[in-house]
Amino acid sequence: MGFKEYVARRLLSSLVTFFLIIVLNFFIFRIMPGDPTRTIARDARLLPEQRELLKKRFGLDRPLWDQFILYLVNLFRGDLGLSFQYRGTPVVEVILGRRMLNTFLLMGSSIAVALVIGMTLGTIAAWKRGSKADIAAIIFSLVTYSIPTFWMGMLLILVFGYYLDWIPISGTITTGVEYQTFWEYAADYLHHMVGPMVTLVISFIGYHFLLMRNSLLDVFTEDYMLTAIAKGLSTRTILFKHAMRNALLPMISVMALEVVYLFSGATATETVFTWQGLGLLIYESVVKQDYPVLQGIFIFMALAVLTANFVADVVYALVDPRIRYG
Amino acid sequence: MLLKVRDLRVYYDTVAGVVKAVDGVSLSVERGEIVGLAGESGSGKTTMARAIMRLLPSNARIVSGEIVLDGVDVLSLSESELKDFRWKKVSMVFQGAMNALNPVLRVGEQIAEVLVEKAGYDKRRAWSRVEELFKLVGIDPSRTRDYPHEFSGGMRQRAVIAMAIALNPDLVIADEPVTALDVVVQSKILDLLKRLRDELGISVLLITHDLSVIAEACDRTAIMYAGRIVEYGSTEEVFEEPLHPYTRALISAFPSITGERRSFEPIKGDPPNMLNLPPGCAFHPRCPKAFDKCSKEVPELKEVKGRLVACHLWG
Ligand SMILES: Nc1ncnc2c1ncn2[C@@H]1O[C@H](COP(=O)(O)OP(=O)(O)OP(=O)(O)O)[C@@H](O)[C@H]1O
Ligand SMILES: [Mg+2]
Repeated sequence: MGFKEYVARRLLSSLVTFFLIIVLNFFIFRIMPGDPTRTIARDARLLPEQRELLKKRFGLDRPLWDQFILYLVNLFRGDLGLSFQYRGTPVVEVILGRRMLNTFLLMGSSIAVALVIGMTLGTIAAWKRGSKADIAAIIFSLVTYSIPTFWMGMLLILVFGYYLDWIPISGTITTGVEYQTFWEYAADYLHHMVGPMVTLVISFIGYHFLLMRNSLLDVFTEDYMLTAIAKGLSTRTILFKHAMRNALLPMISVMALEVVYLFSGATATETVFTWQGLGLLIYESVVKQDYPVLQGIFIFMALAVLTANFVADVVYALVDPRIRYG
Repeated sequence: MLLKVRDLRVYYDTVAGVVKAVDGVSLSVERGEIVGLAGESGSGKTTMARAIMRLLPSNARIVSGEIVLDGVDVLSLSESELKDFRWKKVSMVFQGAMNALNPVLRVGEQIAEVLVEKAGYDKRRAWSRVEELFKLVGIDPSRTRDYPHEFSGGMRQRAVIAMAIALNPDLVIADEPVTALDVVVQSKILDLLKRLRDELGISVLLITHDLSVIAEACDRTAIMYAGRIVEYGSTEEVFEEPLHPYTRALISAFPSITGERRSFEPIKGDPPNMLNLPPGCAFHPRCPKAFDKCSKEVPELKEVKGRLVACHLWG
């Protein structure tokens, strides 16, 4: 099987899975107690015209089968209905735009920083296995990995936000400030990001560290590593060319799963810091029973998971030559 | 003399106690010679090989002895000197060479990298040298950019040998180089080793538990038992007239080395417990000719009939 055929197959299976998820998403929201479809047509937060419009567009007074067809048609047009909590703003507009950008920036930078630090430390620890530094790093990782993020977030807010007043305690920007330049705005934004980002980096580091360390220790026991040492290659070549590439294979699927956070956000952290991202949106939508938005976010997350896994499969095949043929 | 090992002792520390894997081995290899090292599983062959390359696992201790290769005192080399010593002076074809190649790197790259890093080749010259090496060991040179999994077992073994001779080392240690291969491929690989010895003048220390491999390829043969050499001499003489009872037992346990039929007699008794070796000669509990002295005194390796034997029967 060639590379192209492999990619095509993966793509096809991703599309099929996506379709199944869409179908599931339709029925789940109709099986739920209190039948949200009826709520949709009745919710008092919408204007009467908006309710009429929805009823027509999603065929809510028609049989289930018709509703399903309409749901699919609307979905492919990018129409996910209207949000309740935002008084009839289209769901797509609520999700995309600001919210998504906020989550993307926070999650992207946190994961990237945690990956780089975690993997570098993991590599060094594996090479110096059993040393004091190794043991200290393991203890640090286990502790930070086990601390719940909301607790860590609150602790940071209390110490660095409240007592020391180094970081703002909530929001993405300071309210009521007029910015003269873009850079002033960016600085304020980044200042707000420090708290949630540190929280997330600390909670992600341990995981990456332990995974990388274990993965490398497994690789070190392989025969080809003995060959590499016997060849008298430099430590750098042995570690980063021979060991890393093999140790990275299990890391790729982990990274793929983390791409999902880019879209779903980390609800606990975003909520604690009132970071206006998708994670906070999920929390608010649950509290305010905003079904259309929840449904939209689920479809969105499914798309993200599938895309990330697809990309991971392709990257896997590029890094590990054996995969295409297996 | 190219390699001289004198009274080498390598012990492993384990939770169960000390394993004296190599316990007073002396061995020499001349230039351009193929020396076989044979013995049962666990007799310390691999330990011996890895000691020569200073590649022992972390729980191993070199207790005493001396290893001199081409005038270099191997045991006194520093970590950075070792990097230079390995592969340039002595290279290795590992036991289970199937897994000796890194699965995610092209086969050619794994050979080219030593040329670039250790012999100052530029990339382009290194790759054309890899093609030459492939030709030399009998692989189609257009396959240099393949990955290991695209090679058959025999091809991988040839590639590993090409890798071992890339820097023209003085000595190649081949640890069970043909064990996992079928008989036809086995003898082709052994022919290759002999041809490389003739053409390049390298010496080979060929480790195996299979006496037919020794008979086919080696000029001289050392027989190892429980961490010691018990007999060392020209292959012909050792097979013709084994002097040590263990050698004799080993040869009769291999029914058809020379093609003729002989009565097949497995060695009686169990291999020794390496954690708790019998006193005196370690072979005496299994030896049909054992007498008093055998359980009391460890026999020295002495010259008998132009070869070396460690047995009380011979003086
Ligand atoms: N890392 C280790 N730690 C403890 N004991 C070891 C270690 N490696 C080998 N040994 C022991 O040392 C002895 C010699 O092992 P070695 O691998 O050198 O034997 P060998 O002759 O190569 O055997 P084989 O034919 O099975 O490869 C054995 O008893 C083995 O169990
Ligand atoms: Mg061995």
